[in-house]
Amino acid sequence: MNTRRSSARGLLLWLAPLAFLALFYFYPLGSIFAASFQRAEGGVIAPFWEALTSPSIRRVLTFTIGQAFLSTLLTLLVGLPGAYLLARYRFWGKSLLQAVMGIPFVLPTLVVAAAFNALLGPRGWVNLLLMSWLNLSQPPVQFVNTIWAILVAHVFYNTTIVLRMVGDFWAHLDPRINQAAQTLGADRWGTLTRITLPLLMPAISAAALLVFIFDFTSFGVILILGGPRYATLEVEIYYQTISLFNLPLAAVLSLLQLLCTLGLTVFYTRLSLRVSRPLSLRPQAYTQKRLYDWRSRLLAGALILSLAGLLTTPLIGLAARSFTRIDLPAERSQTAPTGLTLRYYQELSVNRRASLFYAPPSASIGISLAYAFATVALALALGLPAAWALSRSSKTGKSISEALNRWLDPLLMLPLGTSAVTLGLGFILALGRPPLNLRASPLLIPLAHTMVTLPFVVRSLTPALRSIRPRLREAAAVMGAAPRQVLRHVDLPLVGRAVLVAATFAFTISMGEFGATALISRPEYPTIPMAIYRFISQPGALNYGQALALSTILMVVTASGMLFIERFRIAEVGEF
Amino acid sequence: MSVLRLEGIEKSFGATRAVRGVSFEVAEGEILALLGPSGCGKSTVLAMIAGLEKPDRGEIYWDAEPLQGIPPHQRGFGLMFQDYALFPHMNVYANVAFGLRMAKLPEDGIRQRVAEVLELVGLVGFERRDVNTLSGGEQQRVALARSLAPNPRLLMLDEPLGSLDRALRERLVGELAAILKNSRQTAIYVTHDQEEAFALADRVVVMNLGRVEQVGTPHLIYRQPASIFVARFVGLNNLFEGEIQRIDGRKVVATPLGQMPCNTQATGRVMVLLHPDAVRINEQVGSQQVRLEGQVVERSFRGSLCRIVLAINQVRLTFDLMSSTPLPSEGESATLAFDPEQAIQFLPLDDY
Repeated sequence: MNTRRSSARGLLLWLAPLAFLALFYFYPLGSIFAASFQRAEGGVIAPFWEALTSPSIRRVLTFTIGQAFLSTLLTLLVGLPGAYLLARYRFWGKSLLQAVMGIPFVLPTLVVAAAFNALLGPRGWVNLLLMSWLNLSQPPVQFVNTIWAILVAHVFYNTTIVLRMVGDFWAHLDPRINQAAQTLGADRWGTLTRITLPLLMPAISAAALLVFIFDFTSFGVILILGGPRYATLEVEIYYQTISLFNLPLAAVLSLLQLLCTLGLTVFYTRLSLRVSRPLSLRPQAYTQKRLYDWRSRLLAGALILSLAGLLTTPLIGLAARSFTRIDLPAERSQTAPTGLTLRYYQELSVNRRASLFYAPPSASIGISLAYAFATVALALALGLPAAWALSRSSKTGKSISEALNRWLDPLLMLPLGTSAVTLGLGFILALGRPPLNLRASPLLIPLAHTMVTLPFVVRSLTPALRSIRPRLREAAAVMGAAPRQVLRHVDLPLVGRAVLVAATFAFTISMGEFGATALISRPEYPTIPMAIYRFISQPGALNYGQALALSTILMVVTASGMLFIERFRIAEVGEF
Repeated sequence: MSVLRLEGIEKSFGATRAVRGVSFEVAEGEILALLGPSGCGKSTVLAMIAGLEKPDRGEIYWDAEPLQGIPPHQRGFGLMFQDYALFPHMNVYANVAFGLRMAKLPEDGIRQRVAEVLELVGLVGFERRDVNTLSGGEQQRVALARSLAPNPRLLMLDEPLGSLDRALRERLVGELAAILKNSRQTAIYVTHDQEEAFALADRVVVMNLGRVEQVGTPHLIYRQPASIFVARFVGLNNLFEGEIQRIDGRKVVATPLGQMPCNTQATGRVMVLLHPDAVRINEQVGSQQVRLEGQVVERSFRGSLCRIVLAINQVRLTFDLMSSTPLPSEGESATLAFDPEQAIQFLPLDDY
C-alpha cells in the first residue's frame, strides 16, 4: 500500500519534467526527423546517402573528425603531465591553481574566441608588439582563421577535463603499486607502460572521449577563430540553416551528428562507470607528497607556470586589451593617442547609428540577464522534482518508481548528447509554426537554455538530495514534525546549498549559451554572446574594442559563477 | 657474515626527522625483525634499503658495496607491502610473473617458477583468478609469492599481516616462518607486534622515534630490555622508580615497595623493572629473599591466563597467571615472593 502511494507520488514528480522533455526536446527532434525525410523518395537511407556522397559534406565530415582527433591528442599531451603533478604532489598555491584551471572550461565560446583574438589576432597583443618592435605595417602572425587557432582554443578549453578526470583518479591510486613494480625490477619506463598507464586507462579514455565529444560538436570556436575556410558539422548546420536556408540538408546533418554524439555519449557513460569502480583507491593525503629536492621543484615549477600561462594569458590579455587603446599603424593618423581607456565600455550604451531596430550593446546585458533569470526559474522548477524523484530510491529496488527512475534518468541526460545547434534547428522547425508557435515569444530562448542546463541542474541536485539520509527525516518525524515541517526544517536547509549551485550553473550556462541562441535569437533582442559575435565579425577598432569589452564582462560573470560553484559543490570522483 | 649493513642512516621529511642515525646488520639467511610502534621510522628504513627513498646521510652496504645511486629495480631486493599493493589490472599469474618478466626470463621458465612459488604459498589453481576477488589471506599469499618469485637477494616484508584478523594472523605467522626458513631467505620483517617479531625473527631491532633502541635475539630483548621503552613495548609493565644507595658497604635499592638488596653498577635514581616470570604469588617454594604483602585490586579472566593486578604501597603490579591454578580473588591479599638477583633489573631513567 505504501509502495503504491509512493510510486504514484514518484510519477507525479516526473510529470512536469517529462512534459517539458516531450514538448521541447522530442517534438523538435521529431521535426528534424520529419524534415530530413521530407523529400525522401528513395527510402530512409537516401537523404543520408545524398549528403554523404556530396564532396563538400564529406570534406566537412573529415574535417570535423580530424580536428577533433588532433585536438584531443594535443589536449592529452598538455593535460597528462599536469594531471600527474596535481595527483602526486602537494605544493603551495595548489588549490588556487586548481580553481583557476577550472575557469576556461566554463567560459562561453565567444569569450574564448575573443580572448585568443585579443592575444594573437591581427589587433592582438602579440601582433601589435611585434609590429611596433619590428616596425611592420602588417600583422606578422597569422593565427586567426588557421587550423592552429582552432586546435589551441580546443586545448585551452578542454585541458581542464584531463586535469580533473585523470588527475582525480590518479590522486587516489596507491603509489605503492608503482613501488612494488620497481622493487620487482621494473625501471621507470616499465612502471609507466605496464602499471601506471594501464591503471589510468579508464580515466584517460573517458576524459579523451569527453574531450572528443566537445571538440566534435565545437561551434563558436570554429565559427569565429576558424573563419570561413573551416566548417565542422555543427558550423555547417548553422550555415545551411541561417545563410542558405536549406533546412532539409541541415536536418539530415543534425541527425548524422546526433547519431555520432549519442553513440559516443553512451560509450562515455559506460567508461565513466568503470572509472568509479573502486580499485584500491586511497585518500589523497596518503598518496601525495611534497616536492623536496630542487630538481623536482624546478621541473614542477616550469610545468605549473606553462600550464597557468596557457590557461590564463589569453584571459588576462582579453581584459587588458579591452581597457587599452592601440590602433593599427594604418589607422593611427586620425585617432586619439594610445593608452588606457574606458571608451570601449562607454560606447556600449551608445546607439551610434541611431537606427530604430538597433539596440545599444548595453541593452544586450539586460536581455541576457532577463533570459538567464527566466532560465534559472524554469530549470529549478523542472529540475527539483526530477532530482527529488531520482533521489528517492526504495530499499527493495523493485518498486514502480524505481523502475521509472532507471528509465528516466538517462532520458534526462539526452540533451547533453545533443548539440546546441541541433537543438536550435529543432526549435526553428517545430516551434515556429502552429500548433505551438513560439517564434515571437520572449520565452523561446529561456526554454532552449533550460533544455541545455537541465542535465547539469539535475546532476548537481541529485547527490545533495541523496545525501539526506531517511534516518534524518524519520528522526524529525518521531520528534513530532509533520511532513511539511520535515521538508521545511530538514530537507530545505540541507538542499539549499545544492540549489544555489544548480541555479548558478543554469545562470552561467544561459549567460554564455551561443549555439542554440545563434539560430533562434531575434536581431532586435541580442544576448551578450550574439552582440559579441556581431561586433567581432565587423571591421574597425571600435567594434573590436566593444567585442572585447563585452567579452570581458561575460568572462567576469561566468568565471565568478564557476568559482562559486567550485566552492560549494559536493565533490565526486569522475563526475562532471 | 653480514650481507647488509646500515651505517648512520638519517632521513627527514620537511621538518619531521623520520630516521635519526640508524645502524644495524643482517647476516646471510637471517630473518631480522624491525619492531616498533607506528611512525617510528621502520617503514622509511625499509624504503631506503629498497631504494625508494634516498637517505639524507649515512650509507647502506650490500656485501660491502655501497648501494647509493642504484635504483630500486637494479637492487634485486624484494619488498612485500602492507596491504600488498597487488596490481589490480592483472590476475594472480601475471602478478607473480611480473618480476620474472622484468628479468626477461623465457616464458616457460616463468611458467615453471610461478607454479613453484604458488605451490610454496599454497595457491595452486589460483593462476587465472582476479586479484580483486581474493580474500585478505589469499592476497597476502599472492603478494608473498610475487616477492619471492624472482629469488630476491633480500626479502623485505612491511607489516605483511597488519590488516588481517587475529586468528588468521596467528596461523599465517607460522606458515610464513616455515616458508622463509625452509628457503633460507635473508629477510627483514617489519612489524609493530612483538609476538610476530619474536615468533619469526632470529634477531630483533627495536626502533622508537627514528632511533634504534636495542638489537638482539628475541630472548635477549625480552629478558634484558635495554630501555624503559623496550620493556613497555614488549609488554613488561611492572616498572617503578628507585634509588641505589650504599648501606654498610652493601648496595641496596630503595623503592616504594621497600629496600631490596642488589648487585649493580648503576647509581642514583633508576627505573626498576620487576620481571613477572620470576615472581611467585601465594607460593612457598625455594627461599626467596623478598616477601611482600599486597592487595588484589583487579582480576580479569583472559582464557588460559588470568590477569591479577596487585597494589603494594600505591604501586600497581600486573601478572598473568595460569587460570588453572588457585588464584586470589579481588579484594583479598596476596603474598609476592621473588629473588631480586633474577627478578629485578635496573633501567636508566632518561627522558621518560
